[in-house]
Amino acid sequence: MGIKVEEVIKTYPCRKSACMDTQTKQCSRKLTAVDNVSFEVYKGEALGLLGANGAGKTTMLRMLAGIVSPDRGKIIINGKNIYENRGYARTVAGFLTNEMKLEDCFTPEYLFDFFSDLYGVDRSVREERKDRLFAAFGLWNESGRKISHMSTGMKQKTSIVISLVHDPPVIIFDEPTNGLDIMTSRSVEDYLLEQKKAGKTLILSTHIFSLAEKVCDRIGIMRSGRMVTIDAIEGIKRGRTLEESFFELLR
Amino acid sequence: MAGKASAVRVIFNKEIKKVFQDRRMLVLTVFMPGTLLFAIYSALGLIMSDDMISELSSTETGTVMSAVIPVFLMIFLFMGCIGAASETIAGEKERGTMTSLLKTPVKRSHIALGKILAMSVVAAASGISSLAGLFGALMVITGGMTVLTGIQIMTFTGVIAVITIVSAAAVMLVGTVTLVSAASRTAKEAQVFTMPLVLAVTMVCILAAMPVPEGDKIWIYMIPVVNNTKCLLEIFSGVSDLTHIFVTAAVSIAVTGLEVMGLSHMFGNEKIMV
Repeated sequence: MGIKVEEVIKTYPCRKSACMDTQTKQCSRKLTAVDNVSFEVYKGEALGLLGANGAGKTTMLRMLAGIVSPDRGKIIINGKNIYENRGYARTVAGFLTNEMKLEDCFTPEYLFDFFSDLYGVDRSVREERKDRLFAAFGLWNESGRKISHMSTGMKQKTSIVISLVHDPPVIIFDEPTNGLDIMTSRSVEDYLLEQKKAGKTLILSTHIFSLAEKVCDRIGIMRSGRMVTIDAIEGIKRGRTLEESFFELLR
Repeated sequence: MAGKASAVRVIFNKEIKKVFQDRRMLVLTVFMPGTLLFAIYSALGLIMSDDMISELSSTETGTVMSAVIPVFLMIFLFMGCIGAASETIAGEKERGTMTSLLKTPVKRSHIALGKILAMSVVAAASGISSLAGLFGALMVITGGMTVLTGIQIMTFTGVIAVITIVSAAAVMLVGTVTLVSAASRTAKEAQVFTMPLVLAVTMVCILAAMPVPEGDKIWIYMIPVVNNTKCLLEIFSGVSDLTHIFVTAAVSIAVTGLEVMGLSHMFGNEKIMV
């Protein structure tokens, strides 16, 4: 399932107290989170988005997942403009972000069933998928434990599993290995590689260069809402390490 | 994607389960109002003189109670709505769990309806708990059931009519609080914003209990909250009118429909929800 992003712009109202009008307590300025970004991701390809905090990666991913809409531009998934049919993006994309939390009075198993029901996943398919995902992420031992009693890593693993309940053809992950130990990070990497092999389209935002190098085919580097460059990993590295090239490009 | 009925049911079930799972919420919204009222009124009973208690035990008290209970019931119901609805919308926004729900393809109106219906059940339970606390305390003070005599609800149709009006009022009031809650950033902010509404609802309920001039003024039953209180007063006094009940239920459902529309619009507004 291919994705095409065309000249997308997204702004937010400025909330900086420094530039607020003292009387109206409002600011007429706008912060441009994503500034005229265009790129394409092909079916079965993995694109990594790199950039400093505030570069616009998360906003870009939120738009791709149909959570927020762009002020201008188009996002086309599988030939469909997702802002003419926002539900489509939510159906085909599995979205994970750190801002999304799970209700901590429930267990991973209950939440998996709950979200499966919302996505309309068949009971038999759900059980088979639950078996596979819980085994892949080592969640079976914790499946009956409340989220509130889990470690940060386990919560992150549960969030990953929940975002995949509907077996989405497009996987959009924002910092998927955040808070995970080396072993679990490895299982996430392996899972993502497996999904890429299965023909799924992957878009990841990460600060971990090794993850980007291992999973992604191409890398897009963002700065101040703009896409500085987007190229195959080797094209970006040019004989250096990815980290060196990243700092060189952002200098 | 889940169908309409299925999505509403799934969200309804989850919200109810959440109340039972989160024991703090169950205690605070359902059991505590009744227990507190029982304790406060029972304590008041200890300092009452014997004359006052014998006056309370008279059969006229029941008649007076039938005029007071509907007002109390509506106020307690609204207080229950605040606890339940502010937590389920603003609390979820605050904790970041609302985004998980909004990223699913389920229609915003289905999410709104599922949450409103579930919170109505909690609010009704809270209202009934408060009323039970009040009654319990009165029975402890007077040492019997005399406070219940004179209340004309003890028939099958009376009970059905009360359930209809209380349910319609609960759904409508929860809808009102969820709208305020959705516009708030935190559960605490939602509770602060709903405080003026508590005063407004209390005033309206008390005014609704006042007698109206002669003649059947059907338009009174088209005013939300006033109509619910008036209908309950009629039912508890044994003079209920089917037309009044029907108009009241219809108006409450229509207002709830508007609230669901408003809430789904707010759920779709990224400036409010994301």
